[in-house]
Amino acid sequence: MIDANIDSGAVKKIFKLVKQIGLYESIKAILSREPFRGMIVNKLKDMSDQIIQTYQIQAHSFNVRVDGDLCYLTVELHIPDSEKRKLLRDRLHNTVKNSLEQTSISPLFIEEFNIKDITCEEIGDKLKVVVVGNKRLGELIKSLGGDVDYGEEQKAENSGEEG
Amino acid sequence: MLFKKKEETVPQQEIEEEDVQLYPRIRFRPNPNFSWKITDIEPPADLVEDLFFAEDPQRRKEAEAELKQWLREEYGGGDWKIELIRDGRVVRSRTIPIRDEDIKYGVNKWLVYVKGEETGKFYKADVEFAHPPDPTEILDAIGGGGKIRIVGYDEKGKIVTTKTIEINAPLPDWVKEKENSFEKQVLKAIRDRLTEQQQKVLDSLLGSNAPKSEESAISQLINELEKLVKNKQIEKIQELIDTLKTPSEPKKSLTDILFLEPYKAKVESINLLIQKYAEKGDLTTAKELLKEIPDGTGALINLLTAGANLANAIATALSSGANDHRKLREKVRKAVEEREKRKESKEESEEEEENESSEQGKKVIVKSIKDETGWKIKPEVEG
Repeated sequence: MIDANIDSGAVKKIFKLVKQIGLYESIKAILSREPFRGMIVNKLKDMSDQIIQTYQIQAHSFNVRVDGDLCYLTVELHIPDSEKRKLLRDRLHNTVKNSLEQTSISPLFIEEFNIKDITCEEIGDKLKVVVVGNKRLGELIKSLGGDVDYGEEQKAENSGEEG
Repeated sequence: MLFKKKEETVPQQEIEEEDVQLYPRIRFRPNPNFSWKITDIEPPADLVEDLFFAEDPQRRKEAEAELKQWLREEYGGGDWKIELIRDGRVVRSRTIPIRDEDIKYGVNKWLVYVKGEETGKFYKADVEFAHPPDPTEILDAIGGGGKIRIVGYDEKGKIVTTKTIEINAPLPDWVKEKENSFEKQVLKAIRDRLTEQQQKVLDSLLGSNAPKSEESAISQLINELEKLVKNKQIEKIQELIDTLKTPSEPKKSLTDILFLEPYKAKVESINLLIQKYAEKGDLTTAKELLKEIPDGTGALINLLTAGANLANAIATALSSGANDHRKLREKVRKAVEEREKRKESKEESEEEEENESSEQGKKVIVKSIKDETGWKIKPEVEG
């Protein structure tokens, strides 16, 4: 765990600074420092690998689409096993609910990214999670990198495809 | 399908008999970079009527949400425009963007590209779908997984939509083969190009008659660099000599500036005036002015008086400075003490604030709706 070695005093200090400069700027600043970026990206990769393995996710995709001031982050998870799909759906609900209600950073997150709602829908063999927020949410996802589609921006890259 | 703006729902037959007829029409574009196109989609008449004519604003909102849901399920994502047409003119319209659903409408075919692990380039798979393919279909069709880009084209071959998914399966063999051969070609091309570039750089540095052996080439390079350094040094020395050669103005003392120069200026001014009056023939005024020319005594008195004044000023400044210094030291001491006190009290109050903020900080109230197919969470910050 990244946070296992950080004492509570340091966490307090970090939280105070984050409050001052905002979550978006903080995350961007942290990601711009290579050791931290590597740690965070690796952590996210480890987490996603574990989730893929546990719930036997056949395929997944991330998509960011912007409409005016709103940003739609859509995550699709194809899980052929219906039991595992339902299990993840319910666990995801509890995790999101508890995280929003109980973590001290969640008010900052909701206010700064203007989170309207978070939905999870089971369509066929897939779970579709949609987070609706402001443009900054899209920018944040962008700065995290990974294989994310950015709506119409993707078109420009298509010229590089092999026929 | 026809409408008439009425307060009550009117049977279809009655609407047709009215003079003013309204037709609903739907336009579509995949995203704002495309132009709107008229579709042949017929929306549910009651929803369109409620969307534009329901008296209750809440019902209008509901009708819009229901229409959105209907479009999402039947035709997928994109921008949808519901229009009401009368005599060929648009009288009312409402745009409904759907960003949380894949674009399906207007797509003629879907092609699949697989990303190579080594090169990061996308390779086109020899498959074509008439509908958006799901991961299992792709897996079967291309014989593997990896990072897949699904591209939807319209009937003119223009890209309408793209989507990247990661299928958790090994890369298809045909991609590996393609990538290997491609990789080899690229590496060879890069190596050849590098050798060529290196030779060009060496030739331009050493000239076309440069010796061929590596050792002599290096010593040649060192010589060239040494020459450059020498040239640079000579340039610097020349700059220094030029600076030293520049004639400087004679230095002036404080006495010159304070006493002698004003004295000289005064004498010169009176001399000039005397000359002017003498030229005009006014000799009396010229003679009077001649008496005004100060002799050296005046300058000496001036010098002594000014010197005494200066000495007094310095003495006063020094004595008051000493007092000021004592006062300043006292002030600084008091300021430091006060600052220390303030710092202590600030730290205490900050600690209190922190405790307060953690206890009375903002809270998130979560509204959660759950049904058989999923859930929706609406967070609100309170406090």
